[in-house]
Amino acid sequence: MVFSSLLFLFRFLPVVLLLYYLAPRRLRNFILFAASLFFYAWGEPVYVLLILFSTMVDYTAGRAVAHFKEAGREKGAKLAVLCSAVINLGALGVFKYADFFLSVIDHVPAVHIAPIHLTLPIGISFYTFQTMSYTIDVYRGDARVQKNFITFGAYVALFPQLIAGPIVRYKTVAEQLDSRKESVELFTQGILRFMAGLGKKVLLANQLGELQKTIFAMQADSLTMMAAWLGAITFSLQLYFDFSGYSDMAIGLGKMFGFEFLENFHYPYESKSITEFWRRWHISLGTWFREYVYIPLGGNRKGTGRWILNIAVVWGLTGIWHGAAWCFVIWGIYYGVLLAIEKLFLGNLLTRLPGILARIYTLFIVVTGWAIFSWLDMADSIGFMKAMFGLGKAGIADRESMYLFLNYGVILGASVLGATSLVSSLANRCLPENTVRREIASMVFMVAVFVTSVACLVNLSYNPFLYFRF
Amino acid sequence: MDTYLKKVRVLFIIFFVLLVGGFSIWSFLSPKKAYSDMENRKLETLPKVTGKSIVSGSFQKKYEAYLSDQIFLRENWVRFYAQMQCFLQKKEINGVYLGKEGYLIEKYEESDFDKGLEKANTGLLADFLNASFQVLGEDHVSCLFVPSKVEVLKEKLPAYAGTDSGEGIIEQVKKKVLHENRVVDLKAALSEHEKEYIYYRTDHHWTTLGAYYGFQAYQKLNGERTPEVHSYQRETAFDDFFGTTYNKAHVRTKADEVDIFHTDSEAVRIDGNDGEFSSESFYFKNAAKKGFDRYALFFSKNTGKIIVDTEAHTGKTLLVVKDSFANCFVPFLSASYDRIIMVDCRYTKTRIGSIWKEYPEITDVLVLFNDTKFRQDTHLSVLKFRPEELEQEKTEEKPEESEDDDDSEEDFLDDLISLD
Repeated sequence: MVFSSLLFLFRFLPVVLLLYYLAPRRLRNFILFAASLFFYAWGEPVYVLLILFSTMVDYTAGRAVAHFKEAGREKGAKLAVLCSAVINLGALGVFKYADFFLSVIDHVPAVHIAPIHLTLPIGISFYTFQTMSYTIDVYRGDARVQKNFITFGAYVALFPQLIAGPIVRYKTVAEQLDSRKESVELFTQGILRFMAGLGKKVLLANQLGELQKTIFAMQADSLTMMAAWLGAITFSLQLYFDFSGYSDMAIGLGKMFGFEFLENFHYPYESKSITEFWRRWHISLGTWFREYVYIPLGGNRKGTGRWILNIAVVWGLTGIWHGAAWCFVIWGIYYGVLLAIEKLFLGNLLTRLPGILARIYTLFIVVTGWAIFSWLDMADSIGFMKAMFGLGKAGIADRESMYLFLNYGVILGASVLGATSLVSSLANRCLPENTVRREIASMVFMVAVFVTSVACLVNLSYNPFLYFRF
Repeated sequence: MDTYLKKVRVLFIIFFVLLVGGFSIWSFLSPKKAYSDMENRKLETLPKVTGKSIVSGSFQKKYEAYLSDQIFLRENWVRFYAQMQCFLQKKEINGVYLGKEGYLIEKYEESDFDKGLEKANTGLLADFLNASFQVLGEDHVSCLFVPSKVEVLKEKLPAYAGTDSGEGIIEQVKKKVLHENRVVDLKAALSEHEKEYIYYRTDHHWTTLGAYYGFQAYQKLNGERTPEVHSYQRETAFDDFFGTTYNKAHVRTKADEVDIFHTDSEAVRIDGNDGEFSSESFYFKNAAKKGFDRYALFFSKNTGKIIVDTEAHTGKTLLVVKDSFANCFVPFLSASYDRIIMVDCRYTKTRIGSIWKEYPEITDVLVLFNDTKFRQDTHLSVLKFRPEELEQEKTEEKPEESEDDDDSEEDFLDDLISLD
């Protein structure tokens, strides 16, 4: 199930909210757990068993770790963590990366195993990381073991962040699971946040997506430099609104149920360096890799050589986490290299440049990065990259590129504006937060966004049959 | 201040609950429709719950389609979406350009066409034309291609919009045909009148005025005079026509007018599909239902074969091989031919050869197609025709004749069918 659907908005969510608030407090986690499983099973009627399995594994591992630690048996605790990691990563490896590994092995002569073509269970990259974070946090003493299976299940499967994050570390919500307080303020914030996210996804991302699909389908002979950059920029904006929109919806939904999740995006396209960018984009993923891979490996505390290696490992993994294909590995390493360069000397240089130049540099790197990231979606990825850098066959611009730009001009303009904090700053100045004026203005605006979003969702299924054409 | 703020928030929550909850409940309880007039298709109904369908995910997909199709106020939502797109200064919606002066112009992309099918159609048409040349002679066979709106109304397109379609196909037909001067692309003739109302704003067809200019080109091809456009008595049969293009993109625009160009030679007898329907006029005002069916004014519904008998007394009989574009064109021919036999490839139950045999008085042939539809047509195999067929009078009695066997069997069955 997806949030941006009529099913979620007008069937699932109303029913779950109703049941949740009618139920006594002690049943609420159970309702969330059950509803979340239903939410997941709707899209994955078979793989829902996998997530249940993962939940049971880590619940058990958590209890085991706590038990061993209490008994002073470090080794036992470590073993439990190891088991949890192996099983979780194993599942991830099989379901997501099996065919990729096989294609790599294929290059070894005389070895050939046919690809197994398993469909990827939705959200597996997110929930396995979440469950692993629990076991490790319990081991480290950062979080208390959760003895209630239902409560733990609610944490793992929580439908707001199950499908697309943010990756919620257990210790962030440990207390909230048992003793959160829903409130009028939180609920209102939740509604507004959710509607904002829905608007980002449906009104901006989906529309930008139409343009992106058109350009990515072009072959080399129609890819002008203008079209290629238009495509890369459109995709950069689309991905931002899609992903951050989803995070907004997740955070908003969390608030409706009394949870406060951490922010996942903070106007990343305003960054003045790549280092800063990765502190503002998909924050929960960066945090996860830092906490559970980078720092355990030694971070930058074991000499420059080891530090570069750590960066390579973390970024290689970050890349491949995004997808089982070489373009993602290349993309990850691309950033690893740039981050290393920035840490070594470029970062300092950037702080001494005027802000606008630093931002242009960052955006150039980021947009090019997203072009690499989306090679799989392009009909002609080589042609595309060539066109971006002036080596394409089709020239700088043509009628079609101009038409596409004009057709989507307003949407692109609104998107660029929406990706900056300008609107937010302006709003804060004219309508200070926590005033009645501000609340009412936000509410009116968001309801308009919501209604327009619903119209877009209905139109998706509009399919007139024009028999004259047959 | 704080409690006031809290009150506002509480009110908002109540509003939200009523809005979303109310809409959900209403959508759940409201009566479900089985068919959509707006979309001209059946709407999804509540799917059955079976274990298999849930595990495979097909129940979920169908249910979501059902929710969408049956959502309360669906038509209003779709219109609202179109308005929103206009507001965002989009130049096209659902594959339709929002042109100047309220013109809705369908766009085509290369992906809409199949080169293999195009090649096959070119071959079938060229073979038919050549066979017709053989039977009737060069001067009695014509082929007119009507361009689509997007190719002619170039000035009405949004800035930088354009489409590369159809140019090649007519050239390809000309290459394969014995007398290429008899194959005419009406684009040049119509472009001269680009600024006039020659295509409907909301439909993909040409207007009666556009058909008149097509008729003018046809007369010129055959060295005949064309009556002045003012010599026709014009009647606006409908002024509330919202056609197929409007159906694709519900953008508020001016309705179209469907005109009749009255002539002195309008007294005709029309027979559709050998008795299925008949009339004494080209114009079926009652058949043209409100909405996008107004074009059905001309000859009413799409029919496989229509015979038009006129009072022209010219001794000529015309076979028209057509799609729907010819419907408003044929009335112009009522003074030139005693009999006009209209065959629509998509709906005819018999092949051209059989029909031709049935009406040996045919003296002329006209093929009139819209070029875009021609590129996508999948029914042109009915055009398979060899001149020798017309001489096979005694098909049933003839003993085995190599390749003609299949054809003779078909003709035999056709003869059976045409017996009442």
